[in-house]
Amino acid sequence: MVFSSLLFVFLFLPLNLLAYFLARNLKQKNIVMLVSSLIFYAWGGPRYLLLLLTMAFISWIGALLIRKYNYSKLWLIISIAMMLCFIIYFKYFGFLLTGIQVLIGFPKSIPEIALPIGISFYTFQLISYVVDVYRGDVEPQRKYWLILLYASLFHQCIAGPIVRYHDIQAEITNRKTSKNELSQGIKGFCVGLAKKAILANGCAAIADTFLLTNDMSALASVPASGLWVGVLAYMLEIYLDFSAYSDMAIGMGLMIGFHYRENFNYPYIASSITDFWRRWHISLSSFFRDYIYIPLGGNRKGIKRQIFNLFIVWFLTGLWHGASWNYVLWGLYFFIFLVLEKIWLLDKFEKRPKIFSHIYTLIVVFFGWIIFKFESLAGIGVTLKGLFCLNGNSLSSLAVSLTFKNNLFFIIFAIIACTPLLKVIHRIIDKLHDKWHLIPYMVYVYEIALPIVLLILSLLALVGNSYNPFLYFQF
Amino acid sequence: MMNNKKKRFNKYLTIKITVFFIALFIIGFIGLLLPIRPTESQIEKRELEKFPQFSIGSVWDGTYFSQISTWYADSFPFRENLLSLNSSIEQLYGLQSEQIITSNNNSSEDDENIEEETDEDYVDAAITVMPETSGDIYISGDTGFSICYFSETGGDEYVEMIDKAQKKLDGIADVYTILVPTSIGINLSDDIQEQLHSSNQKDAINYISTGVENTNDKVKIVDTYDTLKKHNSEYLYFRTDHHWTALGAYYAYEEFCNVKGITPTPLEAYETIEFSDFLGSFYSSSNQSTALKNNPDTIIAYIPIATNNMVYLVDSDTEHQWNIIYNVTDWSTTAKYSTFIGGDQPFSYIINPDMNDGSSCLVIKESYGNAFVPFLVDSYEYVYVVDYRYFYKYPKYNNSVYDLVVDKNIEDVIFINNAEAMCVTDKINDMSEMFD
Repeated sequence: MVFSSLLFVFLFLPLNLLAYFLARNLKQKNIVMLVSSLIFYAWGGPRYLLLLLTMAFISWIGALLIRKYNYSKLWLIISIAMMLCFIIYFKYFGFLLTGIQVLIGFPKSIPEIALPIGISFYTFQLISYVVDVYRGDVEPQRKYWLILLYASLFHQCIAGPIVRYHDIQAEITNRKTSKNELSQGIKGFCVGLAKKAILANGCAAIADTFLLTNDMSALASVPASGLWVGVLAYMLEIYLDFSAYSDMAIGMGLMIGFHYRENFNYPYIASSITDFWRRWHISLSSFFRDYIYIPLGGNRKGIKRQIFNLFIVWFLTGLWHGASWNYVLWGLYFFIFLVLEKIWLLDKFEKRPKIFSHIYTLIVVFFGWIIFKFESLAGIGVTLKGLFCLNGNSLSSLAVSLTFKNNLFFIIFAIIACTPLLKVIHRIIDKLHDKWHLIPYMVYVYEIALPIVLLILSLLALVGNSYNPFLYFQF
Repeated sequence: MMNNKKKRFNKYLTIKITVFFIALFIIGFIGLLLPIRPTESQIEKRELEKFPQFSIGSVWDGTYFSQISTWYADSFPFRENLLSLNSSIEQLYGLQSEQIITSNNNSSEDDENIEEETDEDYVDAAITVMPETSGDIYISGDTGFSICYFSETGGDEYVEMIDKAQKKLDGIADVYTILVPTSIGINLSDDIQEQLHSSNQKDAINYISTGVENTNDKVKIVDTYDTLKKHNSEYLYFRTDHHWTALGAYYAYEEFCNVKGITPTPLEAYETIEFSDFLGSFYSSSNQSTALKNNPDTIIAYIPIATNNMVYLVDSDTEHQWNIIYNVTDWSTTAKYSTFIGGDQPFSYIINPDMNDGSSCLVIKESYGNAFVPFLVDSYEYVYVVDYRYFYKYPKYNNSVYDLVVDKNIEDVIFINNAEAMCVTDKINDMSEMFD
């Protein structure tokens, strides 16, 4: 199931919340959440439920053994290795075999292994849990079903954010819903839903018009302006899509008293690539920082070692996004800019007006998304050339200018939605409201109406759009 | 004071939360009202997703559940109203007086959906007129155009097919070929067509005509391009649908009469009937464009002088009595092109009671032919019509036009295709197979 399906929003979620609020004590509430989450997960094919149960089991028993044998490194390694084996088999085995096949011509055929939904996300959560237990940061959980609840919780199980056990362990056994947070959660959920259903899907439609992923000769004839519009739309889409998912997850968490950390902080207003990665998919980059980069020595062992550590982290970050070389390339692309920035770019930017560093960041990110979009190197090459009319393609066409004109206001709004502008306006109004009790009723009416309006607009947009998976599902 | 403020805030929160949950549950409740769920879409001309059949296999691999999700969304209550509301909202996305709508191939328009709709309670003809256009649509103001992509390979196949047909029927019947340009080729300037990457239809039709001439000089070619172009200020094509109007078809009929050497019935001689509020395929493929919705088409049909009676058959020898121009006033707005000869039927015929010279013709057509056939009624004693996409469903002739022609002693075999159909390999194969 996906959050942006009508079945989820208007059937699954209402029933889940109803059962949750009818449950009398926290244990019952947790059972409601666990059962809901298992149904939610099984919706994509019950066979993978076994995998999820197994992974949670390994993590649970691994943590107990680590603790029992006095923070045993051996059990840490064993449990992590087992989990990695599963993810490598399900996510990367076909990719590895293809690589081997290219090198030595064997094996002849490559098995098709379907990617279990959410494996990249919940595996990382479970790994972070055993490591935290090993480090003594958290006490191991004695009850298997609570670890399963942590890993399978439908809010974040299949597309993040990657929640640390540390952050919610207290809330699993002791949490309350306050009215204020419930109201915030409703708003966050509705904003996320509308962001996905209206803005991200709209941007996707524009991007897909021009960025043709499976027909290279057609792609080569797309006019240059079409490619610019297409990549821009894709850039908007991928942020709106993914942050929408996090907004919805955080919102639903708040509704029942879980506090997940923000996963995005307006990445497109970043002033450098370093800054960008502090704002983009925060739960993933902090995972790599805390569990790979710092254990490798981080920046404490000299610049050469630091660059090597960064290389490993960005190679893996790329690979995490998908079993294909373009994702690795995409990770390493950012590695190069991060190293450049560390060595001298950031100092240079210090002395220049801020606008330069912002433009530089947006350009680097823009071209990064091209690498991300096309799994084939050919597609990347054709697009890069096409942007500058080097495919013999025209500069523009009626179709491009019409698509642009037809969606002009929409694109402008989508760009605004990627910036904190609306939030700032909102804050100013709130302040006026708090300080001088100005226009309080208007604010109230707006706050009450907004979620409903967004809910209905999303319903309209989702009807007749039966196919709209979140992008990050494939990872 | 402080307490008051807190109270007020608390009250506001209660209202906000209550209102949200009421809305969520009301919509959720409506979603569960199974009887009001639509089962088919008149506008998109397709059956909506059905609740899946249970099977262990489909549950295990998850397809059962994903089909439930699709069913839930696809047949959501008030679907068409919601879609049309959404389309009005999307008008705010930008400056939309001109638009290009690219086809996404998930709009199912495979011929399977039309299936046997032969019962007398045939009111639901919506499903019998499948749009032939699958391509991209350009909308300018209140008018839609289907962008035409000509393929020379397809053109060559058409030439081969018509040659094969003529040779099979040589000495038995005369073969006519009529290729009809679509609205984009007649009503838009060459310049705009080029910018839209729409193929030049005059060149495309000439390509085929020349091919036919060079391959087989016994085939009689009816050129309709010039006459339609000459009359292009008239109402030759629908604005909301990819078909031509009866008036457009009349000019083609005049041209046919010229080639055959008979006198066409003057247009004034016909009694006419009008059906207003027609919204055709462009309307549905444009996500129900408001510009089109506000300016629906009117169908003007010319009733044949000799008779308005016809018979169609589908899969058996049961004959269905029907009208050549059927009164579709009460039919849904999207189904009104079916006024002509009962829509796309595998096999139908018309007997002209005013003639008894044994003259007869067979029209082999896709839906463009529907508006054309009524004009032939007064020129022949027998008019037979075959829709080449469905003829195989009529068992009597086993998909052989040759058998039909011999059996009914048919003199003229007339192929009529629009500029998009004339180069589509699948369609040409359908025609070709009838001459195996």
